[in-house]
Amino acid sequence: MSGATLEARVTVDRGRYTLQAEVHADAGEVVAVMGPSGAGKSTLFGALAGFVDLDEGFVHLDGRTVDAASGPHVTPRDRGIVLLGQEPRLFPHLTARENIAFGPRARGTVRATARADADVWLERVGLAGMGGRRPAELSGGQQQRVALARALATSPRLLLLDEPLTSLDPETAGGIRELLSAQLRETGTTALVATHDAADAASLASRLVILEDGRVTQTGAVQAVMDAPATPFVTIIAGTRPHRGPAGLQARIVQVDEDEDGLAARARTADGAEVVLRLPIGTAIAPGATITVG
Amino acid sequence: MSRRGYAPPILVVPALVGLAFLVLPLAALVGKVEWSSLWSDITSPQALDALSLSLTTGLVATAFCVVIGVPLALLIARASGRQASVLRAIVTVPLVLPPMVGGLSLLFLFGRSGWLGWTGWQIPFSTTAVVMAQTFVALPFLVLALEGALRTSGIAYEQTAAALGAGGWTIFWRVTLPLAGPGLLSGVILCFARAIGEFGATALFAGNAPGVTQTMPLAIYTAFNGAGVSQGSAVALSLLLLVTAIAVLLLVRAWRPSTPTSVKGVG
Repeated sequence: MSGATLEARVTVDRGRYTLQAEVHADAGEVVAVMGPSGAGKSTLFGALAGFVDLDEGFVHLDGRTVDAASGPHVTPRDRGIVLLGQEPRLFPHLTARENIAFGPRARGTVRATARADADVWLERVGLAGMGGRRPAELSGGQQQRVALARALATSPRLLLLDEPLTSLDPETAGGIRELLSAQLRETGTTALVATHDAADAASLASRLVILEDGRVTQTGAVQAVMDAPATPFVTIIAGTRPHRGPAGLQARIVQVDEDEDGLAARARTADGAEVVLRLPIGTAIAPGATITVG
Repeated sequence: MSRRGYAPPILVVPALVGLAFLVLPLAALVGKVEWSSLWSDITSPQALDALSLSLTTGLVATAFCVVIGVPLALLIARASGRQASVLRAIVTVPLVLPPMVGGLSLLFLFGRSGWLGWTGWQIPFSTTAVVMAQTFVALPFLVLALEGALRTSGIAYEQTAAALGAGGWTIFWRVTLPLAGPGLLSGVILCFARAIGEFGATALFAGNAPGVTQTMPLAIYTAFNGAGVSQGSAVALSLLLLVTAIAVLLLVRAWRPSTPTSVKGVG
């Protein structure tokens, strides 16, 4: 299973404050959730993952109810929603390989297969040959890579990333951000990313949900939200995003691939950043062309 | 040195008296050991009976403590604050209770005229009674040691495991228990040590029949009342218990270094 469509409207009454939020993510879409500390991002994720009870509302995955205040409550185990937080929470008594193999093993994959798959994952997250190490023998960034591999190895229907880069130094965070972006795209995983960094939202997500004081105050395409802040909070984060000229970003198409979903055009900017544009089949585009990303 | 703090230096005198008070009796015991006959004292038939009975009942009692103590520790560790305090207090009672009172209580529950007397079970004054008395006094050691470890490791890893698709038993065997492993091990060691040293509850509830209920502590006591094993054997058995105690201490410390940083990877 992979990349489900998420449709959720959750109300969680915590006495001091109430979370009342609606989120939607298409299959394979990455949606960023931004908000001040205490806005309810973690509560929202906990509710989606099934660790926090709903007082009202529902969580639908691919149209099926996995949680509702009045109705069924699919246990976290059977939900296929994996939460990856600020702390990697690797099992300290298991090696990196065993950590990654844990999910598939728990779901019945035979040990040898799960371990072989884990080694493939280690390679994908840039840790080939480190499978035998315990979490304590890995750096913070390496641990977060293992945690990401462990989450993706279960082919989650929805991946919840709760500030996965916050506790890392900027250089490490940059590497993980790129890895996240690439792996989420490759695996077609539906994901919500809670972050307080506009750069993360811009580089990982296509849509942005602003959560303030338990309520969604603004939502839309990342760029659209940043360009038209509806609240003081959005104005502040819009000011912190990477600076971009008024005319947009010039990028040159370096590669065009076609698959059953359409065209994937890889574009590179003058300073070396790369974006992949998904285009309908038949779009007239070829390597060498220059485009403007608005 | 500032590390010594500002306590009056004279306090070192009572401190040393205290230390001597703990060490000298044990030194006297070791001094009393007839080294030439140590082997034959330990291997005399009566001493061997007591030794093997202690080992067997101690191991069975420890196994029993694991089977009922691990779930009990889990129950307390995952209970809410108030419930946990009440449960922990209940478990602590046998720890502070004079073992004699424990033995008497067991007798009033399982004895012929006790609450469960109507069942016709012939438990008191049998080897089963020895195991039950040991379990009664040793269980708190295992439960409290493990409960602390389980509480420290928390449920965050269990949640992670659940989200990855693991069921209750998988989480229990592959996450919960291994994370609390050091606590479980030191709990088991302490539990076994308490079980083989048990005297009071055993004496009242199980009696003092050689080969059936006469464990090492009872054999030692009997020897100095002029019956059973020789006094030489009693001293030899005492030495054995002392050595066991020291070994237990070293084992527990080896598995649980004194600094709290040992739980860092778990916390």
